[in-house]
Amino acid sequence: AQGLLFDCDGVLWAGERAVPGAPELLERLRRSGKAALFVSNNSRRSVAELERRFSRLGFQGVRAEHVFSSALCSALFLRQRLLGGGGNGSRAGRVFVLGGEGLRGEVRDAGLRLAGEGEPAPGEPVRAVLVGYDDQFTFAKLAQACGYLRDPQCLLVATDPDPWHPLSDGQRTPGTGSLTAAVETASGRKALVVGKPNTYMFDCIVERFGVDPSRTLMVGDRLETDILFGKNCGLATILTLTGVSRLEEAQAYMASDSAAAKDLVPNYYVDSIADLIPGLDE
Amino acid sequence: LPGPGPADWLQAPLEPAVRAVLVGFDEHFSYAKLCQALRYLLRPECLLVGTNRDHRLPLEGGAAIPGTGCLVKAVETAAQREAFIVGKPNRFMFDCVAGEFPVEPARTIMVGDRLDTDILMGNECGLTTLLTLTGVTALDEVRGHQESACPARHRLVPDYYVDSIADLLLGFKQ
Repeated sequence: AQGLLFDCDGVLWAGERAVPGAPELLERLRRSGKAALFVSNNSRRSVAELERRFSRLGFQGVRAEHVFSSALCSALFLRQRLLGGGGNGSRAGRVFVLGGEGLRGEVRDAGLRLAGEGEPAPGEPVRAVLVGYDDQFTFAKLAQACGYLRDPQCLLVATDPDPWHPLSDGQRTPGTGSLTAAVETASGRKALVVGKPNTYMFDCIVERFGVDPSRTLMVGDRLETDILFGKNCGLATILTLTGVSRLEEAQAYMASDSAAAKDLVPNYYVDSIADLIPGLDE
Repeated sequence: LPGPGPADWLQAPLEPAVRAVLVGFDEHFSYAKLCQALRYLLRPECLLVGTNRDHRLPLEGGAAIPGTGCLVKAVETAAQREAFIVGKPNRFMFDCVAGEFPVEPARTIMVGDRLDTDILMGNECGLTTLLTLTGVTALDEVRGHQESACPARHRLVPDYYVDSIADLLLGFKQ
């Protein structure tokens, strides 16, 4: 392989702890001239914050431009749809974002204007509702989003489909997927989902770095997002067991008769990505 | 819940006696509550119950507010489980009525404005069903179901319809 795409949560780190051996793996990849890029469904942080996080957790040399988060890619997607084709910025309309400051910042950095919360309708129209991880989600915001979505021209976009995320103590927090389900049900619309397993984030990677899928490996911890993403993009896949999915789940998909289930079976698996280090020496 | 963010909420103690999460219409629904619901639902013996699945509650002038169904879907998605829905079209509420009053399905009419709740429940419970057009349903929706090749959609077709329940007064004058 020429390069590897890594998911972050559950692969490189769990909470505030780097997976033992993960920083060493990345360092070895760097030294052997293999590209390492990062693709994460987590829409909480800007890529600038992620760059600092990599550094804080002991990963050297990872720059913001190597990191593709669903927050960044959602902003790029909206920029394309609302500003693309040389559109006049002031006619692009505003974006109503259900999410935190990291996501809002990425949307602003893409040159888009945000609708305020609780603002009255008049003024520049809202041309997109973006649903991300929003720990301040409320019924009032859901109602506000639905108001904008009555206009069929208003896009409904979600950063990622993840229904929940694990925490280090075994608990779970609700993910963007659960909030998107509420907005879809209320508005009668289906969201365009930017994140894995959909392939838009890979398009962003290819545009910036010109990656060859036949020589790139996808490494992730979640079968339904990372492994299916790899399959959808034509990448070979490695499942690591330090995150969400259990080996039994992969085995169950493998044993299933359904064609769709086969797409969720990784090509390889490791207990942890540290297990990839010996292979690099060959 | 104490504290402004998930880190605080997830430390709040859970009540050991909670055995069910009940989702109803909640204009104060929030991520924090969704978080708490998910914590309880991770206990295997905890039930997940929803009052109904209505997507939208119509207001005057064509606007609408999100219905309970949206909140149920959010909880179901986070917990990766299906809720038991008490409300129509589930027959549970009819069974409650029949348990308290001497109702003979063959001699009872269900009157409603919504095909996928009122009419479906009525049909499933062996009642005669009457659709009124003063609510959410338009007649061509009914025709669509009637002409469909799908047998499940036929269950949404009422036995009768009126423009308004006031039209039933004509029956009394005879």
